[in-house]
Amino acid sequence: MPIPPPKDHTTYREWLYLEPEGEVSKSERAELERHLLDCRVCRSERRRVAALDELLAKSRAPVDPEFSARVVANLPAAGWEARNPRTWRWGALALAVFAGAALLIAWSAGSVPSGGAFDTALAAASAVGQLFTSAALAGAGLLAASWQGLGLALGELLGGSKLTVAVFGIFVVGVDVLFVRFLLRPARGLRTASENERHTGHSK
Amino acid sequence: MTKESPSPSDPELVEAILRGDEDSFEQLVKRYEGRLVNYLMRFLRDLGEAHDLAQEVFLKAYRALDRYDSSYKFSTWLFRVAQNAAIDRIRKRRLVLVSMDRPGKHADTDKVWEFPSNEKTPYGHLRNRERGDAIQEGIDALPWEYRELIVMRHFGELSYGEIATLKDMPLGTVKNKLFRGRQMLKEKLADFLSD
Repeated sequence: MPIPPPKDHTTYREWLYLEPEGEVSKSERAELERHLLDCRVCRSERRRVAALDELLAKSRAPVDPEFSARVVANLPAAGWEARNPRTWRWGALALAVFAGAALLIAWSAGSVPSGGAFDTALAAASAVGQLFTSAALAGAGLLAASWQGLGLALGELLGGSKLTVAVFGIFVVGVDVLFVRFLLRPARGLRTASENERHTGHSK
Repeated sequence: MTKESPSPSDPELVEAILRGDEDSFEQLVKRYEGRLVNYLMRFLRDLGEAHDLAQEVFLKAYRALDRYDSSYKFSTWLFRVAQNAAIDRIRKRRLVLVSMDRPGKHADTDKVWEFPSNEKTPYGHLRNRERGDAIQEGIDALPWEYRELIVMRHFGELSYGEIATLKDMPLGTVKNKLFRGRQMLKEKLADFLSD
């Protein structure tokens, strides 16, 4: 096998810095060792690089022994509500609005002479509850009616030919596939700077 | 002789944490606390503040753990969170990072950097302080592009590959910049490097 031509000093210098980091290949290391046998300057440089690494390693500050225990003690309550605060904020807001409405009605009904304040508040809360129940029932009725209407319209549209039924079937399957793909999309993770640029449309 | 069970990998610990195991989180904190505190300290120049911010970073990471994508290394993800937190903190403090042309001219110029050592004599103490100051000043005097990488490598103990991912740089560029940065630092600390 032919012997490769010797490298210039810049390459050996670079290898001297990369070698302790494990960033030179086996063959490069062997070539460096051969060079070091004959080069006093590089041998001295290697010692200084090792001394620099040692100095930097020794200058690392000690960590407070209680640190990890302190971090764990400050962890938020376990569970999804702690990890995704935005998802429960709306629920809490709706509850607060409900409670506020009940209080407002109770306060406005406070001037009614008959019955105690507690009875009035209870009646007000029950009235708000009935209001919500009625609204939910009305919504469900509307939904059912609209679905029924949609069904009638579709029956009218598709009843004529088998081809339109087949086209509609393909359309439904396509929508399902898209929906499943949406559900199985990868979780939002680490984005590299270039991905960020692509995402935001900015460049350096 | 009993065979010692290997310590769980980062993704295994993350999975356990997501199942609600807080002990696994403590293990993860212990694994990274030294690297993270030292990394942050070199930017903030204050060990106490570095501890506080490292705690914030761990808590942020805990809250966002369900969004961590395990196809990336956990260390890279954690240090990205730390890097953003450090930048935010520096902005808030209006701490001016040392620029290329005015090395050492910043708000904490008078900060004393103690070099951790067992030397107890007054001379040893003074020597340690000198070394600690010299290292910080040497790092501060580096151009930002080298300084950032030196801190990641030597204090965050990130591998060349991890730095390349974190900085979105080709591996060759990382190698070259670290070579140059370490060369510059070696010149600045020449008095402390015995041949």
